[in-house]
Amino acid sequence: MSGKLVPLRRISGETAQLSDEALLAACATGDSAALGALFDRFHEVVYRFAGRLATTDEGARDDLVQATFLELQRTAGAFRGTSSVLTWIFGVAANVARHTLRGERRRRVRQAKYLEQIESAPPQVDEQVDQRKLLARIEEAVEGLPRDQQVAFILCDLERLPAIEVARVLEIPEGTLWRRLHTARKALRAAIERTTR
Amino acid sequence: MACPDELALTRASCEPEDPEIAAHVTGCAPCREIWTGMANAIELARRVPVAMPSSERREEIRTAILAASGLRAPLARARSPQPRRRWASAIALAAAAAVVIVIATRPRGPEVATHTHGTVRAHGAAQFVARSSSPDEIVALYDGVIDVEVAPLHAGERFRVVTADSEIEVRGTAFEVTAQLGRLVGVTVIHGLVEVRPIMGAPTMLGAGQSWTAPPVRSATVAPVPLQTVAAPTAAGPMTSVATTAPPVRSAPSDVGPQPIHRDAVRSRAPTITERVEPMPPAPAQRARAPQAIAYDEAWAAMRAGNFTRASTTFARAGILDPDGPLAEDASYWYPVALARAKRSEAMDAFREFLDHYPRSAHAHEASAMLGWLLVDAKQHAEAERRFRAAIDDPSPAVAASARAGLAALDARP
Repeated sequence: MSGKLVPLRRISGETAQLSDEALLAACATGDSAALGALFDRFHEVVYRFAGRLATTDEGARDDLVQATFLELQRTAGAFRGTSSVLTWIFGVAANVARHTLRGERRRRVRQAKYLEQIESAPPQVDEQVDQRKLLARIEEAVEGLPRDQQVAFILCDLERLPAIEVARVLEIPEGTLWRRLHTARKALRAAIERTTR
Repeated sequence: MACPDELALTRASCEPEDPEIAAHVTGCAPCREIWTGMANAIELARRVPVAMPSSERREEIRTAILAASGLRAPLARARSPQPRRRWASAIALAAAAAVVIVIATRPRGPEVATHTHGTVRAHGAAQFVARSSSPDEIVALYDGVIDVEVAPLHAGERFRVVTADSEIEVRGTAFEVTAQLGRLVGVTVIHGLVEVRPIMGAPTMLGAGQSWTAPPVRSATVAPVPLQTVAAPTAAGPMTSVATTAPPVRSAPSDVGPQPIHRDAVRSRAPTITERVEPMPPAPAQRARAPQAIAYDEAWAAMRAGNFTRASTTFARAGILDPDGPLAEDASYWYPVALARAKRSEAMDAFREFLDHYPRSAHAHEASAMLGWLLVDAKQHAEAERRFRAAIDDPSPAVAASARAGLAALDARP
């Protein structure tokens, strides 16, 4: 596969005016301004991704974000333009998460306690409580998924990234992605049905 | 059309609309129910709130990332005999490194260094370092006089000149800074506004035409940089859990977490020209600690708490805050140790950088042994053997034993 040429020069001009691809290329040369600009541009989506994964606490989430951007700088030179920069960044984040996140069980215990609190709370406005309970169940269901299904669901369904690109950055066959997505959706539907029944 | 299975429906929902499947779903109640169920589940999952960090926390993380990325760049300073070539090298280095560290010595003619927003002109043989680029540009002045002209900055951008004992922050201005062996001597503002923040004194705001001069130092000798109190190295070390397959080289006390080792970094390098001055008379302001020392202690707090990823980024920040500072070497050593404990793949490169930069460090053999074990895990046996051999004669029996065990493990492999 032939790759895109990555310019080995310092970026010029305002970083805010540069394309995502140019920033990533500059990042590959070690330009910290470009890394800072990438953080400014993408930190919210990476945070959202980290927040949706089963992390133990805010510290673990912050660590994941930091590790993702540092890894991004390290691997920026490998970007070949076969996906959008956004998808690429999600792929890096997913890879980092796979290696670093721990304590899933602790989080689930915490989540279960939270659910118990909600369920034992005095009734307020029924509809609001139901809605919160439902969302909490869904959150629990997403966090209860195996990590690879979680990532597939977050990237394809919640972040609406093109599935072909997602499969590519996760380095899995498309068929595998469909299976993961299918299983994840099924688990979620089951969680919703249990709550609304 | 027969009912597609759920997997096919999942696929169809992610791809451009297939008219055949769309028509089928519209007319088939069971398939429509599955389709609608999937859409509902996704829609509800999107509504689950996700907590975002505060803007302060976001800034902290951003700074930590930039600092850690900077430490990965070479910390070595190049001393070229040709000053003009030196600047050419600096520009080339800027293209390859996140942090440019260049000491410019200019024996003749004004040398101009243009940063993203600031232009620095050195007077005489000024020694300064362009430590980071936009959006947080820092020029570290060690000795001599520089003129700085800063173009108006945008929101979120900063430009600072730092010395060992002060920080000068500007916003669209021109001024002259003088330092002597790391200490700020004076600032003169040509136009604009400048804030001078000495570590041992109150901040001062200067307008156009105003000057700030440092109070006289009592001693005739000027200290190069503020030195830390030296504590004896402790046996509590990082080597207990660096590599899963590595036998422990040193055991930390079971009930006490690892302790920071504050060592005088100057001690392990070539002797400096000046010795430490007489301590200044005790004053409350003197208790103010250098940012590097604060970051270093924060990093240790994270290590003790078992938050190794955070410890690694904070050690990185400590290193970059003052690459010539007394804790720079230790921070550069603990950075890869923390990375290794966090089981991060960058640990190997970080150990290599440390060993390249501080080959004579008191930690060199220890680092070499740790790197050896990481290399064994990574199946890079040739380099692992070299690293173990480098550590085998360490005076510490534990380090030497670890190196020997590493070599034995390499010999025993099938």
